[in-house]
Amino acid sequence: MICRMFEQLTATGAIALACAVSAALIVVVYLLKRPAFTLATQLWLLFGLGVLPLITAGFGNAAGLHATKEVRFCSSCHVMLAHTGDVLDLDSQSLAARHSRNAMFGEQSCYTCHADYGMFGAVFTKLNGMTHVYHYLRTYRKKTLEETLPELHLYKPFANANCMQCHSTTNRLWLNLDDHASAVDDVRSGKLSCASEGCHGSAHPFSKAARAARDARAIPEVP
Amino acid sequence: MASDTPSSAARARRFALPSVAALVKAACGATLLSLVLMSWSVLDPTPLPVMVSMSVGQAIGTLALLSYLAAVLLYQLRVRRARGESARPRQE
Repeated sequence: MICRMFEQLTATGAIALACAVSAALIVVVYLLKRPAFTLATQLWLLFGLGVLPLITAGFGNAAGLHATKEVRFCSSCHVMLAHTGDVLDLDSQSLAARHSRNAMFGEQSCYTCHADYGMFGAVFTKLNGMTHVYHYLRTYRKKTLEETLPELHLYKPFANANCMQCHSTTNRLWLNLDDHASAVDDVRSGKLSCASEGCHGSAHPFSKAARAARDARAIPEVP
Repeated sequence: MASDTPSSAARARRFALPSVAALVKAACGATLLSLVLMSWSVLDPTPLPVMVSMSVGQAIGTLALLSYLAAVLLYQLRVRRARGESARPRQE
């Protein structure tokens, strides 16, 4: 387990950890030796209690924010295991899985598709992430994956702008397709979702299937 | 005088500034705790450690630094006061 912890250590994380160890060493040596409170001691302690912990916090923040973009971060909540399992499945032909196999998405495919783009997009995405954690702790933590799968849904319809980061809708090859050409205005304005049925379909179709199965069970049989 | 009464002396003791050593010790303890929390998120980047590190860990670290700066300020004030008192001519 300890080996696994160090395996996923990034460069920023390593710097944060090195600074934390150095600061802790200074503090522990001071506590053990208790030297006179001279100017030299004060400066050493300033490093141990101020400078090095601040560097640790800075690099730790960078490492933490970077980690929040990774697929394995999303899959640390059990309710996401179906989604991340599908995304990492090489045999899966779902829209999300096919995109995740693209090197441009890599290990950050959840964030690449679901982040809010724009000036404060990263901030709003992190705030939404906090809302996810709140809902997880309040509602879904004690539920099984089978129970939660039909209930999971997006806060708002998936924005075409996320798709259009790569598929700009201006490429001639894209426009040569009749379906694209006839719907280009609706796609650009967001009236017609790229991931709607009849177009490219849901990115995570199994979640829709689970919801449909739940709804079918909820409808009472007509005698 | 009112300042010589036992109640005011007790009140003065109650509101006496903490010692420099106590402040530095508290700062050291809090810093060690904050470093542990911040390192936890680096080694185990899952939602709970990352959130705890970025909120509780950094808040404790900031308080520790403020505590240390207060200790240094207090120490300098006491040193200056002691120097001033020793330089003042004694009245017979």
